[in-house]
Amino acid sequence: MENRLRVLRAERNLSQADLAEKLEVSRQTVNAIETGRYDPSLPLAFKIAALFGMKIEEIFLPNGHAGA
Amino acid sequence: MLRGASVNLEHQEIPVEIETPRWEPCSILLWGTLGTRGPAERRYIVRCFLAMVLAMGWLMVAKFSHFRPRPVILSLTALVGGAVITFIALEFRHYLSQIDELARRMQLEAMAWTYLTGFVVAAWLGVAGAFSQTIAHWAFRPGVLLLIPYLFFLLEPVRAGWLYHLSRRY
Repeated sequence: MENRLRVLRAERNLSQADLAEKLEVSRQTVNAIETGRYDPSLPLAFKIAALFGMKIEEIFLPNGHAGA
Repeated sequence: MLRGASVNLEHQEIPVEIETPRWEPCSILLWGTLGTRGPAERRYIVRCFLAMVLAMGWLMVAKFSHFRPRPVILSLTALVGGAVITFIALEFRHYLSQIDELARRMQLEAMAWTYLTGFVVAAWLGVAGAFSQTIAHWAFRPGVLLLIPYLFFLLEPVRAGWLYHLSRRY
């Protein structure tokens, strides 16, 4: 699964540590999600979506749909 | 470690800091935690350290003092070992309940691999035991049973090794 987390974070000038604090996870977890090495659970995905005021499917995309 | 990169945001390049995962090998290999420095990790490390100091202190006292009767000392040693390991297990359960989902996933996966490793090693120790009893006719020493609680200290490095291996994936 691909995601736009890094782009969204950059748009808001947040560091990984800032985002991690808001999501109540470790910075390493944010890094793993951004780099696509870890797909978050549904509750965490909802939390991320709520934080950015978007729908989950606007942030997380099936492989090969990142540019869509 | 930080390094520069950029993300294309609608035709403009905006620099973004890319940070390496930095799951700390030192914390992983020394404490079996992931080095996130959260309150749960600090609590687990401090309490485990104190428990181990207590266990080691008792072992030193039991070994080098001349307390009598000896069977009572040996029983107390086993009791201290069991109590300390139970305490550490309860603290680890608390730690697991407090960490985030990726850290918990890695810890649980490391425990699963440790279980399988321990199972295989125990099976081969059983084979070696059977060999020693039936073919080599070595006498079994019941005193060895007193060491069983301390096998925890052999399994912990195994778990830390698996955790280190898994942490390289994320």
